[in-house]
Amino acid sequence: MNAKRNDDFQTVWERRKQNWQQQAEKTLPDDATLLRLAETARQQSQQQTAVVVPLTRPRKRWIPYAAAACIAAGLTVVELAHQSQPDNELPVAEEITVEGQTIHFLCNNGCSVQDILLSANEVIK
Amino acid sequence: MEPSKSYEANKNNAEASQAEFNALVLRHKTMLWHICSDYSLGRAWNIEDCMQEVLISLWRSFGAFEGRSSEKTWVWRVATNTMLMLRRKDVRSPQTESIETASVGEKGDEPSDESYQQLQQLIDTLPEESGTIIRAFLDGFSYKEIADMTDSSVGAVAMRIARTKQKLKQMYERENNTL
Repeated sequence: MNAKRNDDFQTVWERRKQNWQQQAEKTLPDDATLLRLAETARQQSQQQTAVVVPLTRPRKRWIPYAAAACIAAGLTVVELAHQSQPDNELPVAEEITVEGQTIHFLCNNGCSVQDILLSANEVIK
Repeated sequence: MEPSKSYEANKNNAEASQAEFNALVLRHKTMLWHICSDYSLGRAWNIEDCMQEVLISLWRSFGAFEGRSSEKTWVWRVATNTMLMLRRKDVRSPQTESIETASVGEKGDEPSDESYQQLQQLIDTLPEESGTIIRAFLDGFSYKEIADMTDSSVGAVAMRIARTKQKLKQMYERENNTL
């Protein structure tokens, strides 16, 4: 049996809590690289058409609000789809296809209806 | 002329916005990099590519940030949501590289702390919501901040963290045969 002689759990737990910044800094790129990534992100943001909006839970009833935001901005909702993942591997994903733009609604923590609408408005700006 | 004034105003706004965004990225650079590295561990992902995706999400929602939560909480949440979304996509797509051969970053290939990485990998096996809460706690957020992020009560968050920590402890000890 390959028994490892690692630190006890509490020690590792505390190290993770205390030292994550130090760990990250070991591989953190310099500021110039980060700013280059930020600039590229801004450029890509304008080019991308597929946008992902994370949600706390898949709520089908929220979709019309996002769709309404798209319509209000002059886009036509051409398809309203509802997808389930096979074998219950993942939460349900809700999807709206808006004239070539796809907004995926996925399961996640911490987002509210307000977040969705803000995100939808961001998408269609 | 009015149009050129308007153009100049927009241009100045855009430049100010870019400067503010750059400042935000640099203020939270360690946390952002940490989140990207954390979720990339054991996957054939390039951390810079992940960072790029996170920055795209941040830039998209940058103008919508209203200060209802702290800036740090908001940045953490956007970055985490982006990485979770990448992970879901990754689950749907066939793996192109095994965990054993997966890169954890250009400069991060060497396991600098085996136990630390072992814990990280165990956290990665948790259900998504538990994993997110435990990561938030370990990244230094208070119960109150996590409760706000997840629309839960402080008591529920505290209980969730205690239970998840206990579960991780059992998993860790089982792997290390120290029970």
